[in-house]
Amino acid sequence: MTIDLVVHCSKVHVYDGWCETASREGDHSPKNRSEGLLHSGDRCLAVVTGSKCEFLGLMECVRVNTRIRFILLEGLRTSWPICMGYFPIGLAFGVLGQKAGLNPFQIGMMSLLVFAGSSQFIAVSMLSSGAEVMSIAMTTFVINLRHFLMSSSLVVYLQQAGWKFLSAFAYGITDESFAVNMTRFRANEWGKYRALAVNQWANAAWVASTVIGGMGGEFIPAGSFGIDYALSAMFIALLVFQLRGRIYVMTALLAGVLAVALALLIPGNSYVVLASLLAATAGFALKKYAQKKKGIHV
Amino acid sequence: MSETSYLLVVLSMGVVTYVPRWFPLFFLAQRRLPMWLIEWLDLIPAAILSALIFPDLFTANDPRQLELFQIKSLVAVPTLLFSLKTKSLGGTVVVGMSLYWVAGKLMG
Repeated sequence: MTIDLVVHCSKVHVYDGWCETASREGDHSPKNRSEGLLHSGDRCLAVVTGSKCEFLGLMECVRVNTRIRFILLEGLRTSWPICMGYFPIGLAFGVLGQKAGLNPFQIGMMSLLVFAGSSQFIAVSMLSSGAEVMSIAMTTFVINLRHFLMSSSLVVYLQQAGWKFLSAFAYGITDESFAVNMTRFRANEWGKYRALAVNQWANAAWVASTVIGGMGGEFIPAGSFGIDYALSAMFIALLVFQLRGRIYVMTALLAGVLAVALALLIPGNSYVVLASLLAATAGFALKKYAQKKKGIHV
Repeated sequence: MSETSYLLVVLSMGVVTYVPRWFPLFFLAQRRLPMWLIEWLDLIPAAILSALIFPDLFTANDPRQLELFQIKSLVAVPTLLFSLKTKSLGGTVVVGMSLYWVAGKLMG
């Protein structure tokens, strides 16, 4: 079990068995209630471990010195499948950008400011065909609207976080980081800073791979070692982690079938949002119906 | 295309992408969410993951066509079984990639 942070127990907010926010002993101002404020040698009253807050009596904080390194390493250990999966896609994007007449700096700038793969591909092909700024922005908006749903889902685990943290965290919400962080949060073994580290490692891999692609990535053989399948395999595993009962399996199956049907009917990627909304609502209705009918929990 | 108009494109893309990511976090984080919303949101990750994976595995081409049996979907079966058995994220990624690589060599 890893020790996340050492905190004053009375200030620990417990949310669904998950401890969050802390303050130094004697420090009661609400604005200072965040993980990062502890320093080595601060005297604290409890430790927060993965899922529970333990009272240990007055003790010294000793983990703090290594906290940043610990957070970055944990983030890397968790995000490597994303980073690996991004590489072939990022290289391909860089090559496409280069062919459309963009230099590596311009490619990197788009990856840094937008950080959303599929919309970047579409934007570059729209740029090559001479589309207007307005229509590129509208298309990007529609493609990336699905993050709204992911962000709403993540917020359950980020209650009490400050606006600065949330504004930084929002930047890194992608299909992949959402899925990985959600799984770890769900297992009660995750903290917001490690989630942020996952976002930023993935971001670094994305920016780096697109820039490398823009510098001549076509020399790297496509399809090496099945790396093109990294993200698909990762999503399969993450879906398995989400299936914690019959209602999740039914919701997932319904979403999958709906998504395929909608993907065949409507061009673009609005099928993700539509299928997810419909399936989650149907799953929710089914759960309520079953609870009412039999008085049992599905 | 000029440097400034490219910058304008990228900036506007950045803004319209960032806002939907930021809005729910910013406006819901300090609120007590109603129980029904939490329960509904609880089903969203499974739904989104499925909605992302299924079309990826079972459709191909542009415009998309139904393609139930292709390397991607066939490799998904042992990958899924491995994942169910081991519950290992890293292992599943490595196994999936290896199988896809081998299948590509054999069938492609």
